[in-house]
Amino acid sequence: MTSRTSLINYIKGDVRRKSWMYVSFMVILFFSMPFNVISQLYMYRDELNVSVYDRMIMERTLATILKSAYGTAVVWAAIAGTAWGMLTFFYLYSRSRVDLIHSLPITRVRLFRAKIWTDFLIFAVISLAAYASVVIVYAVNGHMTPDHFIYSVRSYLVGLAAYALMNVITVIAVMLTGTVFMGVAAIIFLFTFAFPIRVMADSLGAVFYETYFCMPDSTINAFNKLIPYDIIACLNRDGGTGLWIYTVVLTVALYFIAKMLYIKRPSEGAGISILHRPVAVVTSSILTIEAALLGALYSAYLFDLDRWGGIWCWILMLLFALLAHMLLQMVIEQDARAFLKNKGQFAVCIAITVMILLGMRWDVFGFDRYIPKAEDVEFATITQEYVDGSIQQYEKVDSDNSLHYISWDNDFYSNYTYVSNYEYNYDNMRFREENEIKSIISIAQKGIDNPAADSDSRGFLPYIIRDYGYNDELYYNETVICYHLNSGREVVRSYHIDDSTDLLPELSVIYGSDTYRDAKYQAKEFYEAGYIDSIEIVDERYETVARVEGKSVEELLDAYMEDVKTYPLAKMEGNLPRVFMRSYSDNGADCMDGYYIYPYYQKTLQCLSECGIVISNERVDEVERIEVYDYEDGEGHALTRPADNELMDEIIECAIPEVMTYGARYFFKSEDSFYMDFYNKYDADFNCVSYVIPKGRVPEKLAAMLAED
Amino acid sequence: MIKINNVVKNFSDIKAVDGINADISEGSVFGLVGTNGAGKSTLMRMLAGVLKPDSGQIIIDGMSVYENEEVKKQIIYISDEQYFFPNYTADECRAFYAGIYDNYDNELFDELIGKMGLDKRRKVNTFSKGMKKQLSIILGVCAHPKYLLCDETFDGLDPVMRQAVKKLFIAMMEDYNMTPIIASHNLRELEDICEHVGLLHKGGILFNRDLEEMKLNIHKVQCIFKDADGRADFEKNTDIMSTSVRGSMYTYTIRGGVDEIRARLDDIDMIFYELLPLSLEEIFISETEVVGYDIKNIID
Repeated sequence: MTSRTSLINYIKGDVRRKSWMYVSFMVILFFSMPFNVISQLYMYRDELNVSVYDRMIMERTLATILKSAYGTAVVWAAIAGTAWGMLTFFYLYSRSRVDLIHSLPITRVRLFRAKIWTDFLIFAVISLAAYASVVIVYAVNGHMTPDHFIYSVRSYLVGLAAYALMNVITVIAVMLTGTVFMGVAAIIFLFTFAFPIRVMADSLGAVFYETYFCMPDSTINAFNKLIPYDIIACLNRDGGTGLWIYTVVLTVALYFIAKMLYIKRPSEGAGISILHRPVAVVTSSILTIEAALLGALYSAYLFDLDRWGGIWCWILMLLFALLAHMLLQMVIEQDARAFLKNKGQFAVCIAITVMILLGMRWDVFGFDRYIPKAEDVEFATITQEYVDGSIQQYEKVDSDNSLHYISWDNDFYSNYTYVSNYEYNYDNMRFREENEIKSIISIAQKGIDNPAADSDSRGFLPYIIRDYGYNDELYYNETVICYHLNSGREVVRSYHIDDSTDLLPELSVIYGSDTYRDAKYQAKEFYEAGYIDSIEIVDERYETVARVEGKSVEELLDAYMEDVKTYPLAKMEGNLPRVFMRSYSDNGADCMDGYYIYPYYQKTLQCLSECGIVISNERVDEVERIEVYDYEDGEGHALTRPADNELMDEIIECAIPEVMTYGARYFFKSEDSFYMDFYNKYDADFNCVSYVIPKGRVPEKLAAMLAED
Repeated sequence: MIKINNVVKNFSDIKAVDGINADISEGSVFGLVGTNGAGKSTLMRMLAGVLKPDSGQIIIDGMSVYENEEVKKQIIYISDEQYFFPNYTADECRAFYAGIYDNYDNELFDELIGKMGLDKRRKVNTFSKGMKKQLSIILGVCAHPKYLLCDETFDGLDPVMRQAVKKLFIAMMEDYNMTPIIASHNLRELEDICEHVGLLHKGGILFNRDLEEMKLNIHKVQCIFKDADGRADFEKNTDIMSTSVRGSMYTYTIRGGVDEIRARLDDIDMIFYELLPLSLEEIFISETEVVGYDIKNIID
């Protein structure tokens, strides 16, 4: 019998012995997958008969089931990787088992390979069977497209990578620790420590690679190639290839570390930790500091970090640190009475934590102050959380025309996937022109120079855990800027800019740019091709004057879209729409609130003309009444003709319809801001179209009138 | 042939094995005896390739044993705490060993397990301690190893079974040239079967000799001297390991051959003397007493 035969026989026996583990996982996986499919389909049962959604619902359901980033598959893969790694090498905790297995005529190297690869291959087969069953179900039902198939294969590979990564991490934990408890603690440690590491690594990255070190670009680029900054971005994406590659590379590296640890781990280490005693102080200190930081950060979610909330930060920091220290001492000493040992170590941990927090508070590392040079920036994105973030966005990219359909109504647009404003802007609104980048940098500088009143209370926290919400009690502008540097690195900072800061010069550049228009003006509440069945043209009386149907609908919408995107911001001022469009689906549903056609929408007007609908170029809409509303309390002033003729004309000249820049009213909003509704002689307002006046351009008379209130 | 060359093994600051040198010949039974904590099990685990010596070498048939599949195929190690896979029957244990070791003798397994009255379909975790010992010995010998390493194997076996195991070992030696290496505290058991004995104490080896030869070179003498001069003369020129006195009767443990000691005794004018052979246990006590492992030191 050759050594290879002995090994194969050993593997067979090993698989048999662990068959309970494999079978139990398989049963859970098989039961969970169909359950998820059924539950997901049940959620959309009311929409299953709508043909246009059918394909998309299936796609989304498939995504939920198979998508590895957030789906159940990756969770199960991670659980399997952890549990199997623990169970497979569990024998190292028992001397008698070690004596038996290590006295067999199989070398450690072969034993390690056999154990790791056997588990991996069995997992691969089991999960492949599970994936295949779902895919076959979809295929039989006619929903499986080549794209779906590729997607599911990719998801399967991500699941395998997740399993492998967790498996080797667990094996390393088993090798380094002497007890199951310590093994579990080590795994928890690896996960929970990721967050503070990310914070500190980011801060240190700013210090060492950008702020203080005057390195030549070539050196920085070399460093950037070594440091996987993109992994942070990848972690926020679903099942991205980048994340997969990082996972695989990391897994391979950890595999060799685990293998080395296994081979080097002496048999007499059975049940004894390798790291336990020699580095217990270091390990427990790191864990204590980590717990202290988590306590401090946790306070940010529990309390407003004003003066008293700030005190809670320190209290929770101390509490978390104390609990962690006591628990760790008990575990290390394996004695409940040892919880107060090593008081000196505890004091040092607290001191280090305080230094870290104060370092963040006073921006010692220069992290918050850092702004890249314009020439180093390849492109930048800017997201004003309140301007762009007041809506829940759901996105779908049309593969035919690459349009991003955006909606904030998730009930109706169930086939859309959620994207944050930041994600949307990052993908679709990249400012590359020099003046645009300089404007963004100028906004950042103003953000540093003019922090909102409450910024100090957040100051000890780095940007990533700051509250992104809008506080009605405080007026500030939360702006998140991402710089993508020529080196490939990304720098993301957020600023709470005091509302009194004049950002108009910079924002005018941004909002007037083609980049903004391309990204935002197509992101209107449009519908997918073919969904709109007819469009009514409504005049100033709110009466339907014409109806467009059939093929012309798409042509009209395309023309309208083109006009919207090429319509210069400056022309908005002082111009009023001629008519507006109202669209209907084939089941009669009113699809749009109404889109206004302005005199310079030449393509739209041309299209309507081709349909036999001629829109008069005369100004038929006379504004007879303007109602001015305060944003805060909603109370209004009515301006009527002829008494307010002069003021009304002045307002009409400088007002901007807010529908054109959805965020305009927030962008221009100030503490005494207002919006207006215009009414014509038929007493018909323009429904959702309100008008705003940019700050600094408000007619004096109107300002005085508002001031009286 | 096993050659142990200056092997050292430390566990943290504990010196478990300290520079042991020994040769173990094939075809004989080697007994490894020693005081508590002398390093017997550690040495056995190193011989089995479980532990790696910190320094020195363990050479088996010209090759290092650690991480050497070819050498380890020649060795079966029966630990003092045997491990059986959970829920395995005796027959499943056999299948496990049969899959690993060349020429595993399934027929012999069936024969032996039948003779020892064990049910091969029964789960091992329902076996008594002694039955598990029996099973582990059967599993080991059926692999026909060249070297069978047994750590405290006779513990837990009843007297009949102990004799049966000894006979089994002898039969295996005759038929398959197996070399049992047995670590035990039960010196009486070893005395019956061992041909060579190594005595360990505090990680070092006190001696490694042929048992018969050793017995021929250590003797107990009980004698009554006529006068003190005669006693002084005797003690001065004799390699005495230990002495005890009861009234006028002196009892000595003396190194040396029987003829040599008898000649010496004949030279001294004494009332009575008797020359007695020593058991292995008495040799153990005498040898360890010389290096300070004396019951008086422990009790007092």
